[in-house]
Amino acid sequence: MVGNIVGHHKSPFRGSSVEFAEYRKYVAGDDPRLLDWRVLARTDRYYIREFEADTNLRCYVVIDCSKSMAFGEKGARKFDYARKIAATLSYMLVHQGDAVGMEIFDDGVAMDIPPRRNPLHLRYIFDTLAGAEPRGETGLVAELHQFAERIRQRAMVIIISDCFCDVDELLNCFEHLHFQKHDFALFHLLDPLELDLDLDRPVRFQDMESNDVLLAEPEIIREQYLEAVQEYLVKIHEGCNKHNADYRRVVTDQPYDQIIADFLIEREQLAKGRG
Amino acid sequence: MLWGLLLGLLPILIHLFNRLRHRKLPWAAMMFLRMANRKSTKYAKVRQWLVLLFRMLAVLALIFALSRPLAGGWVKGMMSGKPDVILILVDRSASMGASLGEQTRLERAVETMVESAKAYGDEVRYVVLEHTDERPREVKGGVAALPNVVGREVTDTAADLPTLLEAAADWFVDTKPGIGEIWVASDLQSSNWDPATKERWRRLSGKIEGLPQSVRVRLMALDEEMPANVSVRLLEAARQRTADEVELVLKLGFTRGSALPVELDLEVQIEGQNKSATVAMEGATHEHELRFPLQQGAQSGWGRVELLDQEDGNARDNVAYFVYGEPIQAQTAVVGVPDQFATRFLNLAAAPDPANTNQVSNVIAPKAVSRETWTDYAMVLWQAPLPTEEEADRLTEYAKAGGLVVCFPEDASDKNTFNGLSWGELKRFEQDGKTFDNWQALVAAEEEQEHLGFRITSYSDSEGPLQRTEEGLYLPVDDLRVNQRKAIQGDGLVLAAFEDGVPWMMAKTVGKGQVVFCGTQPTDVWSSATEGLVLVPMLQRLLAEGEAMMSGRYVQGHLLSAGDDRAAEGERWVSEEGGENSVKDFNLQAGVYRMGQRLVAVNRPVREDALISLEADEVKALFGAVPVALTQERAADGGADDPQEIWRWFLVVMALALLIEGILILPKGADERVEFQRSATGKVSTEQAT
Repeated sequence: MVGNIVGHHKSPFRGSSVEFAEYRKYVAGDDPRLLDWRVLARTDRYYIREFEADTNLRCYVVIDCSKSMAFGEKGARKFDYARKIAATLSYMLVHQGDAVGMEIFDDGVAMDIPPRRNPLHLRYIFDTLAGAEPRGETGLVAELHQFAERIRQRAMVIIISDCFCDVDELLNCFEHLHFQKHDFALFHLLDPLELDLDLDRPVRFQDMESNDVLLAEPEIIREQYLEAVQEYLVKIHEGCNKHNADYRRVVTDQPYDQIIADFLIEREQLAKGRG
Repeated sequence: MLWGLLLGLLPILIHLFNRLRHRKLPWAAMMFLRMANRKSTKYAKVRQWLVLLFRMLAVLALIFALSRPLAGGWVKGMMSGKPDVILILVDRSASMGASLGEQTRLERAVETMVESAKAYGDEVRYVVLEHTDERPREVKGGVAALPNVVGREVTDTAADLPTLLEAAADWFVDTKPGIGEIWVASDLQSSNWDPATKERWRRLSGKIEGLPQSVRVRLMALDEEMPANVSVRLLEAARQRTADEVELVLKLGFTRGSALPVELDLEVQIEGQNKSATVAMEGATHEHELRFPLQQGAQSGWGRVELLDQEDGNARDNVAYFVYGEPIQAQTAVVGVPDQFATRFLNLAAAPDPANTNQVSNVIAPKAVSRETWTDYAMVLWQAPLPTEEEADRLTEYAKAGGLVVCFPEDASDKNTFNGLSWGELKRFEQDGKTFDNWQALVAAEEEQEHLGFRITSYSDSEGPLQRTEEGLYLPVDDLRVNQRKAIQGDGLVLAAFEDGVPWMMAKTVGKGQVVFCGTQPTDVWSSATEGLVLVPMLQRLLAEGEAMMSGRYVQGHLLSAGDDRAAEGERWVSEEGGENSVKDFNLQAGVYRMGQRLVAVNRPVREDALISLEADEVKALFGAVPVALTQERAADGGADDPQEIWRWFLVVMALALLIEGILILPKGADERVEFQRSATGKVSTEQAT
């Protein structure tokens, strides 16, 4: 069991409930208490007897609050979109008895809310989301590493970010989270303009995080830009798959309720398939 | 057009301007921009410059297409455009009558031009300009009407191609048509093209080249060799009285291309009677004198000399016309106050021999001049205030027609100007502050070897009115005592001048005639010209010159030339020949014409008999930078060297440039990629992952 109380969710991990799951070979590091002594006595082989565990869910919503999240065409900022997803998921999880925590960070941790299942906790989460504003540079990589270290207990981690950082380092974070046996999903927020660079005349691009300036003609560099974006997206997607993460590419002109619905449906189907 | 090429820089300027008007945009995904910027440094920049290059090419091609350039040679072979207007210059000079097979050169030229015009069709405007009148005639009715407008009759005139081309250039300046062509059909006769006047040709080619519209020249050279040709020309016709008979002396000149001896058969028609003669010709040119007895009573008459040669290359130059007769009466008009000494003196000087009935002088009072017909006079002596207004115009017209006007000063001041010449202030000779009453007083005051008065030191004794006598004797000009004088103001030829450079006699050519100013009056107060030793021969010579100019149609150099000596306004010259030659154009055709009592013979201009032809390249060189296409053969399909318009090809180039530019700026499958990016979602199950 992952949580302290019995929940609605079938735990993805083997636990100590009464429902037998399977035998598996003992490997170094397994708890010797879980050895099936009778099988050992009978066959002289080391097997561990596993049982299905029903568990409640501890969910952490990790929101990127760096300045780049403030980008948005026609005023539709990525951060606003992230807030909507985070609030909706928090509400749903709390109302089904799961504990929801939240971590908002920019170049450091801006706000860390421990998971609670109390409905009153939602108000705190909502107020925190409402008060947060994008600022500073992205500290996604460092914060995810710290987060993976800090949260020892297995949990579900929902990351909402535009992931504008080094992809290899980001994938290291995912590996770290995976190693810590966290179940995590990435809502990768992107603005339509960031995807197609649909600009006609020369533009003086100003980096929202570092204030660096780059004068470029979108017509000339579009092809290379799209190639770079494509390469980056494929790499992230493949990295997520490799580390068993649920990758959700979200373009901010899509309706967020549809995104959440798809996410929940697919997860349910995944759980059933596993069951 | 060259300035228009600067527009080719437009794409670069727009590009630079576009870069300047960039906008600022806060951007999150800088990492991709940096990567893209690094990658795009090579191919994308090359592509960008290629795009700019093709845009420039498109603009330049459009400019070239609009300027409608011409191309000859291989480029022309691709496609040609039509001009908006074709100006056809027709040379109908006598040499164009040379036969080329069954046609004359002119007929061949007209046929060739009509055939060439058919290739252009009725969309082109045709204008015909003939050398005979230099008056542009629009062809109404397209190509079909062209043969009716272009005259096929050869004239006896000489063409002046530079003048004709100037008229053509003026027409383009005045009417401002679109793209034009000037078609010239010519036998390239050197005298018609006048290549020696290089400055004139330089101006002319510059004028054509400087026309705002594109104008090129198509030259149809009809310089094929014609059969052996002999031309006859009248050098002199004189009626001479011998002891017992009157005879007509005809001095004829012959010209031909070969120097081999040949016998020429002539038919000489005198007053309707035909006489035959044979002339043995040696060399390329030959002069021969023929004498024919005339009836005693035949005071005057006319005739023609015709070469009889069936194989002759040009029948047009086989005839020469002449008139003969007693010298006509040389009348002088002396305009002045009848009672004045000067008037009477001049009257006497103009006709000093009462026995010579061929010289008559009339005194006309200044008030009566308006009633006079000046053309009746060989010379007008003007001893009165200079004419003004209508009288000046009439007298100028007279001078232009070949008249001679000699003006003498008045005592009173005269501020009038006549044909650019006027009188200065009266100046009396002074010595030591002392003046003299008359020239006799000067002589009386002279000491030995002394010459008082204004002295005439500069004059020509070899030609002009002060030349030596036939016996070689000098006129005593140096001995003239000039007591007072009036300076002659204006530009003219100084015939005689005083010691201090002030002109005594000045001549100015006006049309075919002359106006002469003499700085002293023939009175004793003014000078010793009253002695007559200088003034009388001087006036007689001027009279002879005036007589020759007005009526000396019997001597070489003053024979009338068709086209050159045109009938004055109001003059109506009627052909004396009967039959089919009874209706002739005095201005265009050789012949014998009568107007009242005047009988004149009109022949071809001398220069028209000069058979020297230019090479086509020499003629092309005369046009300088003006594009000239040469068509030496029949040119129905356009000559091989014809410049052709190639503007369509520039449009093709422009279209290609735009097409390539479009391909270069085409996005490369970006839409599909974006669609893929938007749809990337999902999670791989643990089992699948492991």
